[in-house]
Amino acid sequence: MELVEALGRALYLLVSFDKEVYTIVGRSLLVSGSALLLSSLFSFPVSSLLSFSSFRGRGALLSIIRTFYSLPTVCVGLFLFVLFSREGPLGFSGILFTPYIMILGQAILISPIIMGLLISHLGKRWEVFETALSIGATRRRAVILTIFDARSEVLGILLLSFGRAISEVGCAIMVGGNIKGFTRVMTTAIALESSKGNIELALSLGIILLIIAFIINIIAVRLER
Amino acid sequence: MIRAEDIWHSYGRGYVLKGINLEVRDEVLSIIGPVGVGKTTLLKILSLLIKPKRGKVYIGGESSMDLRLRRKIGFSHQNPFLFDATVYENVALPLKVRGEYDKKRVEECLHDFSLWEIKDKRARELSGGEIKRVSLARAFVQRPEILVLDEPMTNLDPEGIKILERKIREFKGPVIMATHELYKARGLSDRLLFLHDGVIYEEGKPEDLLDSPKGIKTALFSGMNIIEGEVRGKEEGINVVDVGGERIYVASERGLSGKITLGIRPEDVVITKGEKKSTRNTMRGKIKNIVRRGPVSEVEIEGAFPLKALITTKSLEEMDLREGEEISVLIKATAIKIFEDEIQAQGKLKDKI
Repeated sequence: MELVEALGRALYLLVSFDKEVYTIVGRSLLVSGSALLLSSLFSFPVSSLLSFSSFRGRGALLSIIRTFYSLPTVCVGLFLFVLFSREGPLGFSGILFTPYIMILGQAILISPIIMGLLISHLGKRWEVFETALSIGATRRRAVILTIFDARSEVLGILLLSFGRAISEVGCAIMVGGNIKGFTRVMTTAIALESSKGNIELALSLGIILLIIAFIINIIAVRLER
Repeated sequence: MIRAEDIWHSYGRGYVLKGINLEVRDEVLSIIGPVGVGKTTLLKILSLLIKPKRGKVYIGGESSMDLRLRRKIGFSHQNPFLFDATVYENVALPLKVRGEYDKKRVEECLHDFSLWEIKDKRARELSGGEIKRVSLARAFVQRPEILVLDEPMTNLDPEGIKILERKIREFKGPVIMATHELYKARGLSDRLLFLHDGVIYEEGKPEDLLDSPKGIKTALFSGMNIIEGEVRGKEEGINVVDVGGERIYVASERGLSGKITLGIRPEDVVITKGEKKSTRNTMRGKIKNIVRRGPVSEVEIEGAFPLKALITTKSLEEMDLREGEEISVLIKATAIKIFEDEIQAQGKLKDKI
């Protein structure tokens, strides 16, 4: 009964556009969206280089990237915590317990996924790249044309990575600190509120997270078609 | 002018190309050879799309993988890829990536390749022949200095072939193409190059290479009957060779001895019904198989040794030849070619390896 009651209150929070709920949702989207952007800025050029160049150590690099697919979120959190804590080598930056380090953490987390999947899809399109070169495109333009050709797969990869970023909790809680109104995102709020017994808020955020995951999934499936 | 100097290439295990040297001036050079001998790899290296493991390609005296040099070459793939756009956009793309988009030039090219009617069709809606035409238009619209075409006639409809032949004849500059269409290559090329196992096995004028090849592999590729026999001596100044128990008369200026390899062009094998004996080489045989190829038909004959004959389909029908039928086979002693030892290409290669 308690669960049904909580669910009802959670739905009320959602439909009444509760400020606290939607602030947290907005921050989550902003942090994970920024992480996706940051990771893409790094992952796209690196993936293009690894897809269309041959050099010594390429195979080893690909293996390392694939190994990091299942990088534990708490490991990234711990690594960043040590690096950016006041005593750490990058402590001077003062970004620990800010949204910036959460963005960095999530970007680190999803970069191997973006790179690995992108390399796999671009690698299958060698003929596109070669055709682009043969019509006189620069290497950069050829890469862009190839990525454009793989646009539906690329969007799928981005959505998948965004899903991984927005649903992680380990790193966000370790380096973000779950500060109300500043670094509190959906996953950290769910973890905290449920341990505090505030099931309604946790549930309403959980429902939104599920809805976001559902929407991402639908878009990804449509793109695959 | 395009020149390749000592080109070696491998994709991992073993070399696909083994020391290719070639120079193409304002002429049409066709590269022929069985599948998997490195034709496509060589074309891609000449087009600066692949960097060879060893050796250099010179375009007008310059050698680099530079974009500026790459843009001098118009390349068409064997299995072309078209971008997910309209025919018009695909043909315009080479100009757009150069920042030289010229509507008039694109439209001209679309008309040249009879693509105007389908210019708004998307790539995925096109047939294999249309895709090939778009790919060729894309190579020509760039107004390249050098044309490199990989199997340009494969999948192309008769009208497309006519257009391509005209465009190649009009082109001023080196044209290099790989092809399996020996008869088309013959009419269109100034020079043929037979690639085998990564080396230039034989090269020369089309008529020399196809009618009287020096190497056995070239002869086999051009469809010649290759038979092995042993010289038994001379009769009235003509060599007598034992092939599978049959006495074959072979005209030769020099004396022959021991085991030899002979070549007979299928069009020099004459088939008659009955037991006519108008030439020295008259044998009995049985028709094993008949393959009709338009105006010409190929007849496989079983006898002391297997033979292929080419006759006009009209003669085939007039003579009412059928599979399993007993026939007489006539071959002129002067139409039989004697092969020397394997040509020098292999020897040169051994020195390099």
